[in-house]
Amino acid sequence: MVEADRYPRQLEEALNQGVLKRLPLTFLPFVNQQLHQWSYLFPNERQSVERLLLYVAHLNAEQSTALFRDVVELERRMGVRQWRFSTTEQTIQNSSQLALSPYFQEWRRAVQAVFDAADRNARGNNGNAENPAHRLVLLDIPKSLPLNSATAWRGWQGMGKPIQLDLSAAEAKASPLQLLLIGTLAAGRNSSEGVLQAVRSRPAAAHADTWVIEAGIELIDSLVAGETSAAAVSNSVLLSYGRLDTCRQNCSHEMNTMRKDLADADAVFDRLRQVDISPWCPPEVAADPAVREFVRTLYLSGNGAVIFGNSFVEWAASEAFRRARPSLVVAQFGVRSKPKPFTGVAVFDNPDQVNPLPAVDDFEGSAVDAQMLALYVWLAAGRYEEYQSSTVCVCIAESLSQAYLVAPPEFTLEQESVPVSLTRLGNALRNWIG
Amino acid sequence: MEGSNYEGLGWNVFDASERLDPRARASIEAAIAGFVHSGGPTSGDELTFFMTREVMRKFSPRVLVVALSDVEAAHFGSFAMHLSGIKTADRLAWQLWQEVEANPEYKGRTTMLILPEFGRDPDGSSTNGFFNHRANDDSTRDTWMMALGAGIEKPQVIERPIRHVDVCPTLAGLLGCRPIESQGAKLNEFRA
Repeated sequence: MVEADRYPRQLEEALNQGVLKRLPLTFLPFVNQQLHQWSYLFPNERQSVERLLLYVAHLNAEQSTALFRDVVELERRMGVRQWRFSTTEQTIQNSSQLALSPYFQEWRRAVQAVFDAADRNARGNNGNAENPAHRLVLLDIPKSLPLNSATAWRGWQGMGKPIQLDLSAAEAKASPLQLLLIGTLAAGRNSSEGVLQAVRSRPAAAHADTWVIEAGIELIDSLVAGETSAAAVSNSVLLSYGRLDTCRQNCSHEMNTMRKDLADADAVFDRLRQVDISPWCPPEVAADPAVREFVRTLYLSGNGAVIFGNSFVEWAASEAFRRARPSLVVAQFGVRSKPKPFTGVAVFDNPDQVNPLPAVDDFEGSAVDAQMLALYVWLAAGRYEEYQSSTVCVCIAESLSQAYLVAPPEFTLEQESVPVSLTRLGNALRNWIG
Repeated sequence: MEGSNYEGLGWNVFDASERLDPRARASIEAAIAGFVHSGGPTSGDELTFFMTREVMRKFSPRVLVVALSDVEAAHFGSFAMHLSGIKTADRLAWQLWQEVEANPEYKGRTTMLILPEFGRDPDGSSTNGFFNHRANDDSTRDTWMMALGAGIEKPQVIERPIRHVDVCPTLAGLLGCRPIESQGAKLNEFRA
């Protein structure tokens, strides 16, 4: 059932006037699903649907036909009307039929062209006033993961440059990343605020504009426990692989014990979508329907999110970019265990339950994983226009006392040649994002 | 694997054990028992190799397909485990050839082909790079193949692209099968 009471007024009017009837068949699964799940969408996603439907609603019949001409023609060639094609939601069967068509790539381009036209129209209505906001991607590979200085940044292929860091200010009680995020909170003239406070004080700070994602547990534990830091992250999305452990284990259990009819994968997914995961989630996830459903979808979409903490971090960050376009993404990697003999990563076993051997940390392997996945987080951001010209990316390798910096020329640290202190780095990041 | 979403949830190896020939089942169980008690390195591919060797020694089949899958850890995002899987596959392929050379049923009359199932998606792709192989891209389609043994005319590196569909009729020819209906053609570098 469409939950119309939550739609903005203009969108509701467009829906009441039958705008959905003007959409091509292959648009309906996505649009209907987004409308049905409105309360689970991030602002960026709502805006995308709203822009499309308001744009279509304001076109006359001739303009509307022209807008969708390529899509409709491709649907005819693909024979979509002869398919078993759901118009109410995106299904695996829908995706399979589309992907198997020789016209799939052409269809994707035609669909994208429609969304681009809607976006251009929205920008035009705003008087082209949208200046690209400054954004920050802050990645941390902690000290326990040993990187090789000769190869650590090879994968970045010269996109930026390594800078030497002076991490001596990091105390036993706070990691370099914690200090950057929450600053030195002690009272006195040497105190400083952190990046989180700076981004929160932005005039237009929206829901889900800041994401902090970690493979472990300590970072977000510390953020939600401290009075000042808790206030700074009150509007942020906080995802800790460790704090989600109960949720992850229970979801894995559901996956392993449910009856699997492999001929009907959609039924399997439907079952998993109906499980109430709220009781298994930490408060910061359970309290926010959009974030809670984000986690569920993340687990359902594979890519190792229920298996390895570092994969969870990478995939969550990638999906955050795609869905929410946040201004600040913080991602901290961590240590995974070595695989135990006769346990498979592919079957979601909990190795600690099926094999009595003690878990052994794999620091070297985790470092290889984190090195690659940190780069992947940045590459994921780069797929979207919002991050292509006004974003600073800092990837800290604590074991090397280095960071890799990708930044526009106007970022003040670009000209640094001496080891950069955490205070100096923090100031530069706050100035950029604040 | 039909219908399974092996990159997402619910992937598992379907239970085919009930359909196994009793002799094959006994052989596999013996192989597993020996493997478990061998104290050697342990991974899925090590087990596959061990069972393959048992099958070769006990049944000497004319056609043997060995699927190594430690590299599949890539789907779960561990690049280190993916690399480790590649090294393991490399070593086991060599050990398998050593078994061919040592086994009189196979020595001198066996052709072995080694080929990756796919490439991987490009770094930065929307399909999550090395995790998957879904991209409509050369990096997933263009890969390599190594052929060695009795069916090979002479040692050489072939730089021209070999079509995947050419492999099947070539192997059918090597085995003396009647010509099969195929889009592909036999490769001249193999003995007729």
